[in-house]
Amino acid sequence: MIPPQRPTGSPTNSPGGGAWSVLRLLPILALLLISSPARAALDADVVLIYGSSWKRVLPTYAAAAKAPAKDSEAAAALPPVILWEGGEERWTEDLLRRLAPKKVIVVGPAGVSSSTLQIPGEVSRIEATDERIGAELARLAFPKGSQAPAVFVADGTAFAPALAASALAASSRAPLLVASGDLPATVREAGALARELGAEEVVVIGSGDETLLSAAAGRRVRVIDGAAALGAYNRKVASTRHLVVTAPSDVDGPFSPPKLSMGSLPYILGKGAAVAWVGLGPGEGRNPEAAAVLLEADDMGPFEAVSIVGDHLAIPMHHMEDIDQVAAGKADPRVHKVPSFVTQSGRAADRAVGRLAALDVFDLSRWVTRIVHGVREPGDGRGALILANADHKFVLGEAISRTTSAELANAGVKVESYYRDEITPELIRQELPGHGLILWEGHPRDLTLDDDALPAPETSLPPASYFLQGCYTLDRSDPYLLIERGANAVIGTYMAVYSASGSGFARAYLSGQLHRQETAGEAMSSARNFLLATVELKKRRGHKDWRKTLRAALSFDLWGDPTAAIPVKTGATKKAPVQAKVAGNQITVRIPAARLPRTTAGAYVAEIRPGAQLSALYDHDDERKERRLVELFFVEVDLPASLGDNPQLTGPSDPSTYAWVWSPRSRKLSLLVHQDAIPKSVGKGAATLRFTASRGEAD
Amino acid sequence: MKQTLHERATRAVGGRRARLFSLGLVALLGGTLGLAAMSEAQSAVDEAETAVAERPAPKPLVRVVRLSLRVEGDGRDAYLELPLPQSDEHQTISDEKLLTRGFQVEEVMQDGNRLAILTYPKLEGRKRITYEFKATTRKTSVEVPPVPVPVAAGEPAEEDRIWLRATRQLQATSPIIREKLITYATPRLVAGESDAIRIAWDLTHEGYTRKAKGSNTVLKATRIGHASDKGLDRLFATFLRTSGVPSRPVVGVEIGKLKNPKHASHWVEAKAGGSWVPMSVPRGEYGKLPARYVKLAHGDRPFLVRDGVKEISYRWKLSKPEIGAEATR
Repeated sequence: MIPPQRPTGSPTNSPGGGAWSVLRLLPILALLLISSPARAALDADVVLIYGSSWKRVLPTYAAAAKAPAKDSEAAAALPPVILWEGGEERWTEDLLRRLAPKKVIVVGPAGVSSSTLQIPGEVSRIEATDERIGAELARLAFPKGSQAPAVFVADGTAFAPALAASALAASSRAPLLVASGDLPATVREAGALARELGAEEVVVIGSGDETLLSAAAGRRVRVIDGAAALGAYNRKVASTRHLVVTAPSDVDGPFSPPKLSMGSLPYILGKGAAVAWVGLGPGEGRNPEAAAVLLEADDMGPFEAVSIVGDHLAIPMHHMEDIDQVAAGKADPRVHKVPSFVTQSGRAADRAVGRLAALDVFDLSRWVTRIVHGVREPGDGRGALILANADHKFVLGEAISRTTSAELANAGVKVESYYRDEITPELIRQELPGHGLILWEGHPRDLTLDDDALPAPETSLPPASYFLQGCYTLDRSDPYLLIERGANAVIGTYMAVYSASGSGFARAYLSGQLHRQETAGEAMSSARNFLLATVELKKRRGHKDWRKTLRAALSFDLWGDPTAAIPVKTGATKKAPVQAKVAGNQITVRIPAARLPRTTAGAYVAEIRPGAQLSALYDHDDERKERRLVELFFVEVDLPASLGDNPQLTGPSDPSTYAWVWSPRSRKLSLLVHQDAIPKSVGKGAATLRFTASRGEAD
Repeated sequence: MKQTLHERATRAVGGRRARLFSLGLVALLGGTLGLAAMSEAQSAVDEAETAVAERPAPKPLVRVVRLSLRVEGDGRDAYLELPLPQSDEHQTISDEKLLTRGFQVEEVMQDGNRLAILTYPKLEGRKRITYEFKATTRKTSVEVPPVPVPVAAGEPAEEDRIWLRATRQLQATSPIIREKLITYATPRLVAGESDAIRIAWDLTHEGYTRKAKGSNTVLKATRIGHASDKGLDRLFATFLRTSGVPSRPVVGVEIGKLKNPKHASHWVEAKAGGSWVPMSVPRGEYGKLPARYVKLAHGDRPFLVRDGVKEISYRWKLSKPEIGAEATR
């Protein structure tokens, strides 16, 4: 879970020569002293914006922003702001139907008809050219005397500073005008607006001569650059543990740039997250990891959750050669994408990370609306659907998948599971829309394109999570189309994954959500650490196939909000899961006696306890001609600082029965215990295993 | 994928219902209802004759084309969209006959296509629909003006928007497609090339292996590296849209030989210099359309859009026009 937010005003620890020099802080501090926020905004339950012109969209965000509720994490409360154009009608209408707004404001240029879009509720329109839209929005959203703290003006020469200006204006509940070529004229208009609103100053984001512009405005004018505006916004959310990185460079380019950074702002404001630019241009070539570290060095954070808004073209991922193929000496090994914040060497994952990658800003605006505002309807299924081993090839994975089904049922989740020939196009067409969590395990299929003879659901989808456990499932079209049609999250892979490791990851992920109430990003992190600890355990036990487990650990990624809760309704847990606690330097792992129902698939048999994990380890039972899956007990605990940055464990049994990975940043230890660690005298009863942590030599 | 075809059609029929042409068994489009088309056709023939008088031109290809549809219902309300060819510089359409045999039929214009919307409430069993027309076609060959990259700053013209959208089969905004195009185009742009149409053409030609059983879908073709002829056309149209060049797949019928075609034909139209120009990567036709093709419809749509129909099959029959008793020379 993300820890409570740190109070603002904590001591600063800015390194000399860091991103924020004292001089750059001055205008930010001045902005923070701006008077109390205004209470004006567009009076709408939903704002629809036609097209994706940033000079239209960014002032609309500012005009739509209201003060957040007192107990809200948000930096500003925006109604759903949905971008659309011709061709987007179907999915937009479905979202509007779910939102059921009473008042809708449609923003766009004059002469563009929205007659093809069926809009519920009372509809009013704000029509103006991009040059005039900011002033028109300000006139309607900020009545005379509404005491906006300032009037913000983006100089209109670049997108990134304007995006920062929009974040700052929205979080200040102040209007934003975007200049279109004639900055003094826009500043003059802003000055007049400032006088009407009672705002003390005009703040220009970009460049210009303050003296000349002040003369034009008839009001005090301050000019700050885009970085200062971004810093000012970030200082407003200084206590947040959530960082959003996005690439403003994705609005430019000749080949249909997706403009996802433009759609990131309602998410950033709704989450009250800090923000940093990455990628080319304004991102100065930074990757998400560097952006997080840079801001943390500037006394922001620490960031427990990171959302990456942008596709892999705008925000490049790491690449690595296939470790299995390299070990086998293949001359031209396949190159894979590696998710951000995942290291190729297999260091423990220690942040909740998710990516919001959509086909375009229209899809993203609907996705963000679903995430921030929630659009679940009573008719939406809240149960889980498991579709496993449709190709009959992954028997070991199917055995694990069946235990996952049992685990969900044990936690009170309504679950429907289908295997092998039970999975038909008709079944998928019928069942896909009716569940909150869909777990697909097996060969990847184009669920959405009819490409491989599976059906493409043509109806909108409920805001469900889709776990596509197969090879390269994020390198395909499915994730984008599922998101377009209403999905809230997609979990998949960028590499080939063996079925046991993949199914083990899925099981560990859901265990984290079910038993430790982890968010989507936290569950990803703990499931990754489960596989990384499995790699260490395999090494200790002399298994030479540990690389395929490591590849699976590096493969999975979350497309969705890393702070999202489990998407299905849970009930009372029937049988207690494996648990652990820390007291001083003692870690106690409690293993219950009660097991989940025995499951079989082919020769594989699993009879495990709730919360126990499985991978590709099994014992032969020659007498019964069975392969019994080995129970693994995985726990994560926070260790005290007294144990240093390289803690070592000693356990109650042979070192080959346990292994761990450790994150110095989060001080979380991920411990994996083999069933052989349980004394034979315990039999099938409950067990308590105690481990002792000590400072490591390298510390 | 954006708005579906059927949904668009439903909207079109609801919003722009054109003419009801028959509730009976026979609808003769060449009669009272096809006057506009006939007038256009005559005008085109006149122009063609004038051109012949000025300089020798290839003899136009003339065929009578008959399409027989077999529709099987299972008690649901049957719905069919049948594209009707239109006269233009490449082709003259005349003598249209539509035998609907109990289907209600309406003619609508949708996105520049002329469609017969055929409906039959609670259709049970098999029905046959016959559509016949005379096509007079000429070879089309135009210079394709270059379209520089980036195509245009700001928002596109309203009439072009529909031909720039990503659709179910033309996934123009997919990062998989964008990555393929950016990777291919960047060194060429750096080297000074700038024609978006030529770059998309070359990428489709060089970046994929043409296979009869290759993928029809652009994303799968990009993943596996080979595409069918239809897949290549879709890839080309997709890359054009990604580049900001309006494009649309075309469905037509080949009438050159008197051998009855088994399938519809496909090519692409790209908008260059304000005009639509025909292109076909698999046939290597850059700005060309041989006289043997008749265009039926354009857009990301199947040849026949249908709903509430259990099964449908069709066959084409080609013949030379009958020569009447009156002598000609």
